[in-house]
Amino acid sequence: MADECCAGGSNRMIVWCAGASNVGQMTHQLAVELAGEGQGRLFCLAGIAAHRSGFVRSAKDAEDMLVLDGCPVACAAKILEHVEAPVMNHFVVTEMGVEKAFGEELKREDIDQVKASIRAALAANENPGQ
Amino acid sequence: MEIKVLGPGCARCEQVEKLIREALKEEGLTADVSKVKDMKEIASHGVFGTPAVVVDGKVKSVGKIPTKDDIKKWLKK
Repeated sequence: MADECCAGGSNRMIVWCAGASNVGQMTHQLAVELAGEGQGRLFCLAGIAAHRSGFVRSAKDAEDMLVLDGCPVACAAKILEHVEAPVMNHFVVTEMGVEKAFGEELKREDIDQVKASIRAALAANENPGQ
Repeated sequence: MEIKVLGPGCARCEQVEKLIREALKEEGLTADVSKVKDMKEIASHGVFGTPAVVVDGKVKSVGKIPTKDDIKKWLKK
């Protein structure tokens, strides 16, 4: 019997809107890259929206969260609100200097710039006053 | 009533099972309590973390040790 087996890995749940626009698609790229950097673990927003009990309960019981929306329509945050789960560390890509468009390829420099802003904000939230 | 404790079998999982069995005894109820250690089956419940508790197919708790009072509420529903 291991003492740590239920406590491994990051407890920050990452959910993202994965919308159709450039900024929606960017949330997917951001989520995957931030998870790869150890900023959290990917979780299935569709499962929450589908009201699957394991997904909904996981969102409600989440210790920490990173919620990524592409635009102010904020579908990811709204899905969480709909199931009465907390919305923590909510970021909207269009509010971080990227304009919403359709059919445009993601620019590496935009992804890096938004990701750096998110990382900095998460670090500030973890270490308030520093 | 069917109760599943999802988790690979650590001390926290054991604690959850113990609390469930105590709650059942205190409430004078019986249930089929089982531990699920298979990661594929755990994943099929869509939980973000373990230990997790499933009562009659519904996930009631994820990634924490529930209180005995919480467990008793689930047993009464």
